[in-house]
Amino acid sequence: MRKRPSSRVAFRVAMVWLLIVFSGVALGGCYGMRELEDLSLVTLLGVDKGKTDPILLTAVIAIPRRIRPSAGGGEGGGGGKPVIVMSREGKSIMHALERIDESLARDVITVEATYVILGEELAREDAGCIMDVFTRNLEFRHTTLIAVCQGKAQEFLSRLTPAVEVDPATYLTGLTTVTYNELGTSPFATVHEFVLASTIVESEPLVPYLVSTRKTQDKLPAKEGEEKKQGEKSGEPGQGEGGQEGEEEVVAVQGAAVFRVSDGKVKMVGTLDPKETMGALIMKGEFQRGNIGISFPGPPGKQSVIRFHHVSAHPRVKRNDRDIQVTYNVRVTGSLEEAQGTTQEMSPQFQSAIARTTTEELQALLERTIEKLKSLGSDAVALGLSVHTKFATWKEWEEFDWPSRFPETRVSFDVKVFVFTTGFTSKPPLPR
Amino acid sequence: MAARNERSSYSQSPSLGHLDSKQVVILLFYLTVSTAFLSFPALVMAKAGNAGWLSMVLSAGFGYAGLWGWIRWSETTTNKTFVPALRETLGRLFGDFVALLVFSYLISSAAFLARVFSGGTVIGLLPEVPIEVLQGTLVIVSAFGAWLGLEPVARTGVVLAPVIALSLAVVLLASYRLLDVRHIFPFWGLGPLAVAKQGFHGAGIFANMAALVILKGYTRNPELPRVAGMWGMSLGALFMILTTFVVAAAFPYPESARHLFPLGVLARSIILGKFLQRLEALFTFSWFLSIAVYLAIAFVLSLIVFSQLSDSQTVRPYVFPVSSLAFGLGLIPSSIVHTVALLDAVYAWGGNPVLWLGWVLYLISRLVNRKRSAHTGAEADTIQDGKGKGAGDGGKPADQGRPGQ
Repeated sequence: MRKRPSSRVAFRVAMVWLLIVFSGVALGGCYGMRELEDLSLVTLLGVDKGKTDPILLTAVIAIPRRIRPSAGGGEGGGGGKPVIVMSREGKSIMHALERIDESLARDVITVEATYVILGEELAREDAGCIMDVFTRNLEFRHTTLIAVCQGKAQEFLSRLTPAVEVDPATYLTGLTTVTYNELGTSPFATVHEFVLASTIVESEPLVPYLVSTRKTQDKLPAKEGEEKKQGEKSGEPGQGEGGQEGEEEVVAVQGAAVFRVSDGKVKMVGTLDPKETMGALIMKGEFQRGNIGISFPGPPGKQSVIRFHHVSAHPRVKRNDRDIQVTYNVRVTGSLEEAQGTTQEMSPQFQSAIARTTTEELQALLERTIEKLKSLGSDAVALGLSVHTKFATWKEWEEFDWPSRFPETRVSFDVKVFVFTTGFTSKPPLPR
Repeated sequence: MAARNERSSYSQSPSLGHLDSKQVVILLFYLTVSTAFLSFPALVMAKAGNAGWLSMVLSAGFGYAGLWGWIRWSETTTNKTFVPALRETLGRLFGDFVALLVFSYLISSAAFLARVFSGGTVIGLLPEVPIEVLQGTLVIVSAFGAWLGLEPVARTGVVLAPVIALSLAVVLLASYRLLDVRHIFPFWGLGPLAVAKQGFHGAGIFANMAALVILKGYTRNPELPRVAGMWGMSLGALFMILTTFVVAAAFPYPESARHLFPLGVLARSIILGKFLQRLEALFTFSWFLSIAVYLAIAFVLSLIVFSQLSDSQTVRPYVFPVSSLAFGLGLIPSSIVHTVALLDAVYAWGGNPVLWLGWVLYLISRLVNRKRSAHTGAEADTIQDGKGKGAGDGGKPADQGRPGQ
């Protein structure tokens, strides 16, 4: 016997509603609901080598009501510091985070962490300890930025006072973005890129190197290999809130930290100064814009500044069995932005001289950079990615053993600079 | 003309509904592309290195060849639906055995695919949701679709196809920052042999193209939708090749083989704004719809095969048992790693035989017809209809053997 149509329609409607309700509950994530008011949002993470445990984790936790700009300007909406800084030691990052969680009334969540700062001591020993949690744990995002700071990350984050910005995370992100996009003196590295460069043989990590500007005025960053005195001013690990009033410092990006992967460890092996970082970014194909200082053609001792607007660098690889020769075709378009003195020269000869001097300076910079990277044994410019295109199979490439061959690779540069303006389009009849 | 009249009388039946060629294209598209955003690209990379996209090109070539075999066989059994045609070619015993194999392939691949998706969603998106809840939701949604019939599933598929295609396209395009063509080198990946081997093994994911022959009894046009089959295959192949290429270009080897759900990782890398976190949930939700439609299609196809096997003329009594079977099968593997390995084995050892079965059937059919023509004196190709050997298909008009009436 057939059912009456009305009961069939009712059945279907009921089924549809049941499905909607069931799907809504299951797919909406109603399981394990977490309210925003119950969370401690970590915006910056610092990772150092601990004293009793392997990891010393520093978390900069936002206080939302203070981060919100107040109507009358000033620091945050609610007065006082917009963040708290907490440090704890642990056997792992998660363990240390749990210990931080134990001291807070709100659940700690790292999904909003925009930057992870590695202390230099840890970076030089093995920075690989941060990779696992960022790969496995959903609340650690691969899009988080990564940098190395001079000294301890705990100290660095505790003293960090954002210039102009209220939120330290926004400040650090902005700082790196500007130096990467506008000055070309800092890399822009996410954890994703760091993990990739650490796990493949064709490239090695290159991340921003942050220092305190006050320190650099008195004393430049310590030379490579020089042992740094660290932790003298920092509080004892695991002793709760850091931060010392009156010792606030503004930070700056001072080039890049160079890593090398060997024996399963990701070790920082040195630094590039800002200009060398520019050279590395040009070779890596990541350079956006930036300035380079050149000796002004003519009278000695005068300096001028060329702004690079467009730069392209294409490595051409020639392989002869195990011998690799790379020639970078570097093409630059720039303009003369400033010249010391009162010169208002506009002749084609002058323009050629500017281009020639810039070419020489840039070539020297690139050669210096690649030689430094070779001496550090780190292919931080991802040259291997271009070299492996000359191999047919993965087996051949593995047998070639790129990390050991990189320092022996011959790299040359074919630089051509086009200066489209020297700053003036007409010359006054009577020079002053 | 007679066949057309028979089909037109059959097409009045409302139960499973009928499909136009556009809907056939979309159904075949779902049957292939639903594997794209799961673990398949990573599996290909693990076996062929970053030349996985070359393997996929090769697999697609095999897919076309396999589909062509099914089309050729189908043309020798013009008026018969799937199981009666198998019985005609292979005899009752072997015909039913092969039909059961196809049924098992359809149901096991669907069950494990659902489990991989549920597991991936739990791992990547909803860690506190029990996996059974997601698996159950998927199966219930799909079983409901199967219970409604083929045409409602196809119509739903047509409505959702742009959303799913758009979400895939957005993920593939928005991850351009991560792409570097140099990552696809060394060109031959783990070697030409490995690429060829994986190309052959991986062709199993196109085994679902055999669905074209199962669907042929449910199309509005009495002709076999050959062109629709080729379009469905082409769309699926295009997306699969594009996906493996993007994964290969985004992740250098061996990183590309390490991620279980590379498209999920790409989706996670998309940033729209500071506090717009976990945007991947949006894409995963659209992929959930795709998997649900895929499962519904696989259920309907399985039900059609099973009802033809049992000569029951209806599919609805089997909806609950078959969906329960899929739910249970999917929960057998103890972890997602085991499920992925099982699914890979199902594609390689179940999918490949199903893909090439069309050619085997075609050759047997030619031989059988030739033998008959030797007896009767007629041309081999003209002996096709109404000569089945098994019960339920002997001389009966094709429509009467169709289920769901």
